[in-house]
Amino acid sequence: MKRRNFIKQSALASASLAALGGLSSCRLNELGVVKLTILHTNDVHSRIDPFPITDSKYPGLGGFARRAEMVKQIRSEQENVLLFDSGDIFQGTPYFNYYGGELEFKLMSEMGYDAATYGNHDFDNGIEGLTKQLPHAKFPFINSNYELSDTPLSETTIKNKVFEKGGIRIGVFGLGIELEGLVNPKLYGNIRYTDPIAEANKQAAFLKNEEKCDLVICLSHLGYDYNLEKYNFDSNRICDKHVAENSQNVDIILGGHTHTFLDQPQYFTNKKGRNVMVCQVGWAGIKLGRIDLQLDRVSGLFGSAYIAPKVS
Amino acid sequence: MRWLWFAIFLSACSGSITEYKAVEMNDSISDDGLSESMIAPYRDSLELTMNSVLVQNQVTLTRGIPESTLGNLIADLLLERAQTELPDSILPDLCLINIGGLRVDLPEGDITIGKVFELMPFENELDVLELSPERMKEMLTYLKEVGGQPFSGMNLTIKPNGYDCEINGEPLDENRTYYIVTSDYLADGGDKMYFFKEPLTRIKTGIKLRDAIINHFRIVGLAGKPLTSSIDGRLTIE
Repeated sequence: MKRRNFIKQSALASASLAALGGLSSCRLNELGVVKLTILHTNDVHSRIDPFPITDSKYPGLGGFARRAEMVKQIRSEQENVLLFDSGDIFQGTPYFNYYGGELEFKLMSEMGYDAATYGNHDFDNGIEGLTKQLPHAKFPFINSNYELSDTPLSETTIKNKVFEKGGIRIGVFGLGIELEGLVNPKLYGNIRYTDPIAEANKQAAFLKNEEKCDLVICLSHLGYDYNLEKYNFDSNRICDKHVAENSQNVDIILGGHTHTFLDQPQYFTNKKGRNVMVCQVGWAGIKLGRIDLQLDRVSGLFGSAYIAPKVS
Repeated sequence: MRWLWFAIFLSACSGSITEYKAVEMNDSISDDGLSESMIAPYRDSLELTMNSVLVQNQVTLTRGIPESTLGNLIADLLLERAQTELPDSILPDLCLINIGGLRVDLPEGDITIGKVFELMPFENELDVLELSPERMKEMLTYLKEVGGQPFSGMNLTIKPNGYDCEINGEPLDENRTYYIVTSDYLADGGDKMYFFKEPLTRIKTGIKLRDAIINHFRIVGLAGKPLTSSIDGRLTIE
């Protein structure tokens, strides 16, 4: 992709510019605004069917066929769509116990998932159980902080991937949770966990500087935040909040593991003083997360410059 | 010129650069036909499996404290399973689980695989923890405070000013450690069982509680017997 001149945004975001407002978004499109829609799920936990209508918490909610319909509809309306999952695709209904995740992967492939990262429960049938199902997944698995070289997953897992949509380069990497103490060692075998923050900075710097990505997305299964009473055994665990605050080039974190329903993204200030957007949509496919971004192709101002909370 | 465009962009877009929605998947959205046709054969076949009968049950087995027929049955079978599973060098002394983890009573009649999934919908696994005498004391104090939880391998009489405790028919030895079978959920501090925190040893068996239950029920069923359980006085509160 041809890089445009980068205009420094500092000093410009002043109120005096408001006087120039009032142009229609149509005009902006002519000037080169690209719309990008990022869809995401996490911790779907083999919830193929919606919850029964008698469920006390989520009556009638969720379901893969419904999500497929919604994704289809969004794709018909939007030109640039990416669809990601942040792990724990497996485990939670008899569909997993009896079919090992085959149906989950087939349906996700049909839905056109662009990538996913591993959650701890994706190892519930061992590395072997996962490897056996991977041929059903027509999308890549991205993990950057597991050392997989002594496992069969080294061949089927990538450290990062760059997507191009409407001339925008989107770099994606993935972070997995520490498996020790969480998963039976027999199941995760020779997977070695490495520091997610160091890896996030390494991957994001590579994607932004070497791969010239306009936007860097982290698929994370680390969990949103453990500084809560119910996690009192786990308060030292590294979470998305830590990654966001200690990162430099990450724009968006699509999270999972803690089953946190964030109806709006949470923003954290990174090492460069910029906002990092952290999203998570609970679990079980009850909700589909949707980010609509508008990025300016002409000015070359992409990425974190614009990952800002909506101003009302 | 660029500056001007940038200025226009900033001012016109500052309200709509990023929008976020967590779209609820409810019945206002129809099912995608292709996905539904992919799911149907799996769903049908699963239903057959879930409806298959493991064993007969003659009286409703219920949950409750201090003791319950269902609690005793499950704690007994889990202890037995862990004892057969572990190497001879480690003999689990007792099993302690939580009554809240058993989600339904077992009704009279056919007990199907589906019913066991209702009873134990979680993927919890059996862990064996070695507890210090101090932690054992905390465990017994906990049982006194909560008024009971399902256990096996122990006879406990809770008295106003203390307790009498026998494990494997021997009085509790306050100088030794014990091996306790429980679920990984509880071992991680679930249901405020904090005495499980930082055990001297933690052995993960990798056996799911549900699989242990299904296995036991199937064996009883294949032997042509019904499920049996009783309130046998293992926990008495004076």
